[in-house]
Amino acid sequence: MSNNHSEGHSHVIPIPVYFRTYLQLLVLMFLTVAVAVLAESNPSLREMSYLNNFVAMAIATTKAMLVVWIFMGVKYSSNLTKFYAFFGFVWFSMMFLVYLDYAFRKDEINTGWSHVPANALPRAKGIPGS
Amino acid sequence: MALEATHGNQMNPQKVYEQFEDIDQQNESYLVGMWSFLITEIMFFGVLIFCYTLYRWQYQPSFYAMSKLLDMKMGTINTIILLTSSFTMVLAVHYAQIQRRAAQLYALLFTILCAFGFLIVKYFEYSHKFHVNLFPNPTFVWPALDNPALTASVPEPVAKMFFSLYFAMTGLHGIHVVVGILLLGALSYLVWKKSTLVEDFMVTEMIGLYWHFVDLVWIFLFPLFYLMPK
Repeated sequence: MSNNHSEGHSHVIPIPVYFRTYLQLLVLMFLTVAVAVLAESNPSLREMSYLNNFVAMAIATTKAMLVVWIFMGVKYSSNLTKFYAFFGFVWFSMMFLVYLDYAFRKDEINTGWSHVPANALPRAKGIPGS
Repeated sequence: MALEATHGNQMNPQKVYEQFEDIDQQNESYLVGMWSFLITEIMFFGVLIFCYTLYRWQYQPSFYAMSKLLDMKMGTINTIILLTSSFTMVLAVHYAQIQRRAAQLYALLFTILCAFGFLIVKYFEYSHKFHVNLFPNPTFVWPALDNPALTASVPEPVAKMFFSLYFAMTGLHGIHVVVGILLLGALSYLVWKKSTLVEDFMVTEMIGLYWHFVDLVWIFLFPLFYLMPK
């Protein structure tokens, strides 16, 4: 049941609200590109550019929140919908706890793959090194 | 199907089906159902992002060198295209709500145009990668032909892992864009034919949610692959 619809009607959001969100998304995008380019071009900043991991992910998360909140209309929806909308992202965050396992593990993760069995691609002819 | 009542608002002729108490409950059921599907999509892409983060954690210097093989300009153009398409998608939902069918159709068609634009840019990126033998199959050539100096220090298995992740993640996203084009195309056709199936704006809203999710995935893929710091 609806919780916050006194009108009992889905909200029609005015276009300027959407347009403002769109502009905010574009500004954030240019910001994240500018930070990355700046960190790359300046040798003194490049040593600290690992910080850009946090900047880029913070901006990406902000953009994602804007899209979910305004464009996907979660802001204007009922509490049950809000719960469902955020549950997936909560799960996504919880998944990263699994890294604790890798952090305390002595074994390397699989270093990648280099050998392809000869029968994996029977039609592969004229391949360099085969 | 028995239709018990139409909603009071003249602008928005939503019909309540008999299993629902009222229009709010019906709309909420649609939204919760769609979000349940999107949660499975989050899991789908989530594990890929998990793998990516795990390998980048282990091989950050190599991953940094290889991210230089990707074209940041093309990634930026694609981000602008997808953000614009998300904006036109909300316009389509807005016009569907106020029953302006022509405007809705134009907004949908522009969204489809953006989706094709995205795929065209992606095609140029992919075809270059195939051209210099960077697709991780037996034809893979390492160090990279287009920048051997930069990539000489990167072990080949790590390089293959990077491009496996790159093609898996952007490829799966690309498939979602193609599915989005099919959905938007079908919706546009029904709107154009003035079908009663799409009178209820919730159909447009649902496809809009899917399309915004595709945008959402790209918002994360873009910095992860194209804007990698040292």
